[in-house]
Amino acid sequence: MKKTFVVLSLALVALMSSCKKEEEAAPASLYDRLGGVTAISAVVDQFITNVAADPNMVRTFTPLLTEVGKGNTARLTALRNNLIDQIGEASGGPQKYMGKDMVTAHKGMKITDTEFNSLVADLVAALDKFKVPTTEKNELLGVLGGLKGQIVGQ
Amino acid sequence: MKKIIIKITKISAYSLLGLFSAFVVYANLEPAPMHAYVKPISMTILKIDGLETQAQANDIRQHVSEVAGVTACSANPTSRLVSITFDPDQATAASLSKFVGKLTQQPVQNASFEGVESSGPQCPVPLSYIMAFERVKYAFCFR
Repeated sequence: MKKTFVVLSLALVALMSSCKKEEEAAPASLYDRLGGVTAISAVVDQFITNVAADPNMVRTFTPLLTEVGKGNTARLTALRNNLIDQIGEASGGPQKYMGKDMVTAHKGMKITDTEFNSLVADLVAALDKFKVPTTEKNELLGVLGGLKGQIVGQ
Repeated sequence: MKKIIIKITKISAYSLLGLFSAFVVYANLEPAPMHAYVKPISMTILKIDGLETQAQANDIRQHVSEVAGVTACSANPTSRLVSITFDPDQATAASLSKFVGKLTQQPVQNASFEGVESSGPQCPVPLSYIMAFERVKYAFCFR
């Protein structure tokens, strides 16, 4: 009886330590490595300001920029919220993107390759400002770059 | 007459209570998204005709970013635009415009995008109404 108890205890300890090892071994998600929602919202804010000052982006963002000029921030808030949720979800965070799908959201906007590339450059500049490491930057750009076909030429 | 008024009042009260309960249930169907916990921002876009070099742009970006309440700033010598996002509780568009004017010693004006043609989907319901509905919804979300 005593021997069985000792064997069971040892097995339990071994099982628990192996679980711990597995937990430790699991790599942190891109979301955690980026710094969570606070860091993502800071990057999104920088990205939005980069876009707003970018001459290649004026045509695409005219409705938003015009409204901001009149003191109406509803469109800006919607864009910011969607970007936080979208980047959060794409990087493995708890956020859930609840906006329109990319094709519907960009329907009729006729976004060109040049405009899309400028947008990516603005995002890269925002990530660089916060010194996001190359690995994380490329991972994020890889995820978002996959959306190009759904955004350009709609 | 009095009985009818009491009956109508009761029915109205029960209906409102039912609608409110249904709204609370709807608000709690899903947890509030993370963006609901991020402080809202405002934005201002300034035009500075004298902004011509990257060095000037870097200088503006660096100094404006240090102002209390500013969450991000970008300056572009090609468009001669300076865009700033900020916490509306800590800064205002007017105070930031004044700060940039003093910093650059250049005339600063609010950028105008009137006349630029745009396209894309337009929602028939004003976005501000949708955002206000969202705010109320998350206020009653207890998950």
